[in-house]
Amino acid sequence: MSATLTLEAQQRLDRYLQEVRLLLQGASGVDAGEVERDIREHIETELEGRTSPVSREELENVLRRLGSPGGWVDESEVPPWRRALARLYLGEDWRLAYLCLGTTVAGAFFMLAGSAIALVLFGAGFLLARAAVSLADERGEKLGARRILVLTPIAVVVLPALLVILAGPLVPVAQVGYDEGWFGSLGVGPPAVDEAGREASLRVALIGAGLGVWWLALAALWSVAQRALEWLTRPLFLPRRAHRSWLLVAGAALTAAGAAILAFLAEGRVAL
Amino acid sequence: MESDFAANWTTQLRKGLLELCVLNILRDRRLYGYDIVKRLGSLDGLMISEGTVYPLLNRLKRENFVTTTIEESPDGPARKYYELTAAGRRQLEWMNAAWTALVGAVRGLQEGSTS
Repeated sequence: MSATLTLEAQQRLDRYLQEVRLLLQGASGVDAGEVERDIREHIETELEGRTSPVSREELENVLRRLGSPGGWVDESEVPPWRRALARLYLGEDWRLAYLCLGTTVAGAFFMLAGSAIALVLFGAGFLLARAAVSLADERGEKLGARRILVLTPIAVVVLPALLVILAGPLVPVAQVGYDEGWFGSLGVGPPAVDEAGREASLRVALIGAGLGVWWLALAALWSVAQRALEWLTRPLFLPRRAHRSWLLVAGAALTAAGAAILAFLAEGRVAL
Repeated sequence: MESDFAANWTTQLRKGLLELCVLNILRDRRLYGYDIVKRLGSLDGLMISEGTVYPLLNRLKRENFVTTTIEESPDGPARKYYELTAAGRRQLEWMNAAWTALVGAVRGLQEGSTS
């Protein structure tokens, strides 16, 4: 663009364009590239002649006049399944919101019964809820009182998924490794003083160090995985660079602490 | 609710008239998208989200009512110009006639004439 945008404004524009691209997926007879070109041309013309970098607030004003990303998709171009959902989510119509929660509650019943159908229903509830959030965004509406009905199915999937991502594969690996005696080479033998305490320390150290290494790996992969993470957690929260820093610091601290305990245990200098 | 009803009615009315307005704006001239949007925005009572005009222009293009050409601009970004085709002109004539008839009929109702 000929007008220069500040970093924040550029990120805002990228997000707007990304939302439009997402909405255009599956839209028949629409050239997404052409739509993006129209958006850029419009914004560029609007900001023509600007000499100083355009701030996020200024860009926000332009985007507000342009309307929500959904406005760029003609209703006739929207896939039939999306039109059907939209009919369940009009103004004061709560049917889609009830359907979201109902699907998830049904999933919970199947889970209690030990059936794998629960996973399908949780997934369906999640996707329906995400569609409801998108529809609300497109229309510039707030979820309002529907929030609890729509966000619960998302939380039911996102929170366990985040837990699994954070726990990572290294914690179970460390646990299995401990149980199987893979770490015998560390020279940690059952001490005469307090075997139970020594074993607990070893277990905590292995799991802590494993978790720390995993978090360091996640922090390193952050830039690659950020978009996927944003997709998963939206609209519960938006992963930011600060979260990556926390992960990095916590990972380094855990790794260091775990390694230090292991080193002490290996040397047999820990009195437990 | 009455206010929702009124708001929806107004929105539908504006949406329905948008194509007629765009085709009329292009009747005597070729214009680029931004210019069309601004001209529409200046019309009283036709308050629209600017972003809704472009999908409509693309639809008119697919219907072969308008053609587009991209031209470099000396003092800004390259611009996509829209122009009516012969089919677009015929469509506009038909729509203007239909609109005139409709307005006449509604006005007749408003004035109490039923015949």
